[in-house]
Amino acid sequence: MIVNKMKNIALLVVGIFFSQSTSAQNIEFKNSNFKSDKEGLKLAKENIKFADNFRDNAIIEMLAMHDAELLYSQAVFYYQKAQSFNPNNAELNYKIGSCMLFTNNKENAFSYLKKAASLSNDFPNDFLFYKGMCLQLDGEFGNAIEQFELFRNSAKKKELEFFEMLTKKYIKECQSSVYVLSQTHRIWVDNLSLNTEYDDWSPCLSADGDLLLFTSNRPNENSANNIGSYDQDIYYSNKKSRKFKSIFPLSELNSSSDDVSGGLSYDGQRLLIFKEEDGNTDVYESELNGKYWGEVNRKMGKKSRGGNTDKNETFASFDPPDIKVYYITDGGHSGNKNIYFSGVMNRERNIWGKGQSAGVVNTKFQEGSVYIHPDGKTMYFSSKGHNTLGGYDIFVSYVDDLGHWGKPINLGYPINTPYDDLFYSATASGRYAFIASNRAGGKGGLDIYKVTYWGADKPMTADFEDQLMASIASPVSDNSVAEPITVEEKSLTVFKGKILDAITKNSIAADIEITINSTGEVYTTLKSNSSTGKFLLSLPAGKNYGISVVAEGYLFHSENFDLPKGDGFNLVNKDIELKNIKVGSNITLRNVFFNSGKWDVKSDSYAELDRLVALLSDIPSLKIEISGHTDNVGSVSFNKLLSQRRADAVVNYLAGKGVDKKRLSAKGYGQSKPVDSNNTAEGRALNRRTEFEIIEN
Amino acid sequence: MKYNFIIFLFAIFTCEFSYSQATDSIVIDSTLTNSERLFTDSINVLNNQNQQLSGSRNAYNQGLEFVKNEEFEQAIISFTNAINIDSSFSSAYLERAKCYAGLNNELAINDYNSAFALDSLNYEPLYRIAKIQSVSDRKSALTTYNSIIKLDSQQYKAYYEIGVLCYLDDNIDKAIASFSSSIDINKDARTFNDRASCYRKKEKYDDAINDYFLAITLNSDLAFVYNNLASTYRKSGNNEKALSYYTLAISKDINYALAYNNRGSLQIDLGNSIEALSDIENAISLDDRYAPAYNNRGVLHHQNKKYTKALADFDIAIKLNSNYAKAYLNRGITRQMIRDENGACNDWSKAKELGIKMANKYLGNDCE
Repeated sequence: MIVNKMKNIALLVVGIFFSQSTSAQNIEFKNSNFKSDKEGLKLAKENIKFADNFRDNAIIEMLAMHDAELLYSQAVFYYQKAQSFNPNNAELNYKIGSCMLFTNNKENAFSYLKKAASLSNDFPNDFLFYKGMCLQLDGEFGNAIEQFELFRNSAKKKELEFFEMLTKKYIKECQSSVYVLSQTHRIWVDNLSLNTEYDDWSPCLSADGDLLLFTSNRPNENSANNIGSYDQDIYYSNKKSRKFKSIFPLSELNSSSDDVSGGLSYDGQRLLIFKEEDGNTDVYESELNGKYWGEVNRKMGKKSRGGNTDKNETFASFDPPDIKVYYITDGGHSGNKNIYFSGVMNRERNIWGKGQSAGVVNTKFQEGSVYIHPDGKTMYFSSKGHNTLGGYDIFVSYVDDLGHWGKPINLGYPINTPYDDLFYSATASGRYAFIASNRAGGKGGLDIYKVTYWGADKPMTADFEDQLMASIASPVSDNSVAEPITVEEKSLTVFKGKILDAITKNSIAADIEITINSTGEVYTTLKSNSSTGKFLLSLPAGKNYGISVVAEGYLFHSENFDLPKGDGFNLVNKDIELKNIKVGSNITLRNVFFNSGKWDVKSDSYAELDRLVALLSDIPSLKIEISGHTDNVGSVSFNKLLSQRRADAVVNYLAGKGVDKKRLSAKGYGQSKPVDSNNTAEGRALNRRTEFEIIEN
Repeated sequence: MKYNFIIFLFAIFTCEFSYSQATDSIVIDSTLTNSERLFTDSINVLNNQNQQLSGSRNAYNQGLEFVKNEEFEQAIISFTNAINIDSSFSSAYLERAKCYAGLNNELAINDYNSAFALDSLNYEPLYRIAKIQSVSDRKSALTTYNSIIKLDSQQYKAYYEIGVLCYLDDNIDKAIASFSSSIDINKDARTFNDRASCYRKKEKYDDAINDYFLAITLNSDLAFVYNNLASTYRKSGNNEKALSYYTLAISKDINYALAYNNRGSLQIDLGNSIEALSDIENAISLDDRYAPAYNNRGVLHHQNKKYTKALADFDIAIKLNSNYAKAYLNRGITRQMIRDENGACNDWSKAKELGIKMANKYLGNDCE
């Protein structure tokens, strides 16, 4: 019923006005004006009719607050064919302009409306509505409000009934824009060199900022569709010299239909995409195996289960613990696109919980993208609701202790504009992010922009020198440098590196486990890339972690490391070398602790020793010698005795865990085998250690 | 009468001189009596000696003339001649050593040692040796100064120089003690200035200000003391007094580029950009090779968002001093503002290399 009403209004607002125009410049599509090209006229009129059909449907969708970009683009495509035959028809220019306002080329809409106005002074009422939209895009909010008010006053009751919600919304947007734009943000937004005149969008960034994936409908090896557009493909680029210069298609995942990047895991090893099956889209996942992306598997449960419904699930984001997936579904409020999440219940069987709304972030308008920052507490999403400046804006929401997402905050200008600004993918530090926007001044369609947060102003250092020593002629400079205000950053540290063979330096696919030493809790597990050996994760700073690395055929590796809190650096780079399990290989157990001068194994050593138990259990042929070593503090005889007792204590622990004592021997070397200098505290710390050597395998 | 005078001279010289002369070099006048001949011989010896001394002094004076004309090689030859004629000529050794200093320090030190050996009441050669040593071997210089004090505990200059060396070695407490010892013997404006600078380095601003004022009391014409006083007030947070003492420093020496630059730098901190620019441009007009002034003008331009001009000034500052860490740090900031991120990161790398820790922070935050 309501759809029929909308159809009527769509027909009501067009057609009857420009036909009454008497302007001499306005050239009607009629035989008398094109006597010499009747075929051309016929074709143009057919195109207009075809386009009108798309436009009518688009208006219905638009008034229902649904996404109508494709329908409007199709309408524009056919209108443009007629326009190339007769560019001086007021009505056609009006239609093109009004349709363009809902596409990714809205920047050009106003020129068509202006031309329509120059050709005729007799407009349908909604011309004022569209003109208001154009003025809003241009940032002329006062004039835009004036046009919207004029439209409200002149529109017929039925017409206004359908447009009222949008008109009110746009007026509200203009009013709030004045405030939002008055807030200054120290942000740079730069158009990337990889953009084209086509749509370049859905940027997905690894947490270290080294890998960028995005989607583009630039020409590819497939054929263009009926409106001249190519299918969407996924591309990637690796950062070199701080720039993304070379791009490559992600061939393993690209097909002849649309392939869209939906969300990248923080280590860049897994990708969420969405694809259509049986008329609706679901979220799928692909994993990077070495150099190649693997087969896609449905994420969030099986078909029509868990987060997957008969609606369209599209853009998605991992969350750092890898327990939930946040995604966009058009099964939200009144069929609008909303943000939902689904949590894993049984990963092996791919059982996920039913999708749930993410709460106050959702509106009755569209939510267009979602991204959970590596800190796990911050959601960036785009929405046409809330206090948008117009079109999609990007918002941020913070989760509270109860897991509820808080009131969204508009990220403001220059991230947001009255155009569509959506997607957000950031580095772990939060210093950089990538967004997509169809704002004015781009290369065409949606473009990808790099957002750089300046942080606080960096203070310049004016210099002054004094002749402090009377007898020294050259002045002495004051060495102080002003401290800048600390840049507000996420308190995360990106921990990245490579797993390599200690001898050959070849990359190794290894299982990595990160443990919080104070609690023994496993923080996360991940795999290094088999082709590059790379691994990457973000960790909260201010803790002591244990890392254990296991790879087939290699001795497992473990060590502990501190991530200091508040350190300016938020990137720790560490390559780990694994040793082949060969007789004679030995490894230091860095996470085995004793009190000074004592030999009782401390409880925070158990996790490390349990991994050794597991290794011995996995490889029953292994026989090892546990060796204790000390620094040179204390007498030689005491150190030898202490190291022997510590080695014995470790053997007893292992035996207590079921390892046959025949496979174990203990030897205390005292201070006789230092691995570093005993002249420094650091060196002595390295010399105090417990090792094991494979003596038989 | 004339005869009596001759007899008198003869009597004197027969008593005073007993030179033995080779008889084959003297023409024997057989008409002279033995006494007369002895007298004549002694006169000849005296004349020869005077002639030699005169030749030595002439060569020495000639050397001094060469020094005046900065013809040091010629001067060395002349002083050598003087020494060859009179090997006990301490001043000639001293002056030749001065000519060697910087060219051949080993020869210089040898000569200074010779000069001191010939005249152990004059400590100048030892001070000179210590100065040479202080360039490359402060420990030896300290030993030399201490040896002077051992010879004469009232040598306040030696205490002073020890104070300077300790300051340069960042041993500020010892520097203060040495300057104080010097002051106990001789109250000198420069010594008070230097002790004040030590207090300033220890952030004991009140003590520093007190000493700078004592220096001014002893000598109110030393512009650099006013400048140092101003900078100390600035460091202690009293910008008003800092400003007034920079102005006093300039009034004491209107060509004092450093004080103009310092006042300009303070005006930048106070946000008085017009006054700052005026001062800094004065500093540049007085010394167009003074890098800190270009750095400071660059800062001003940057603050006024004139990034191109700021870059040009930082470029000059770096050209004048390729190790100017602060100029690299600042240029990096300006380059970032014009979105030259690679340039900014390169500059911060250089600033970090030159020891500015802040650059490391910028690199970590902005050059991922």
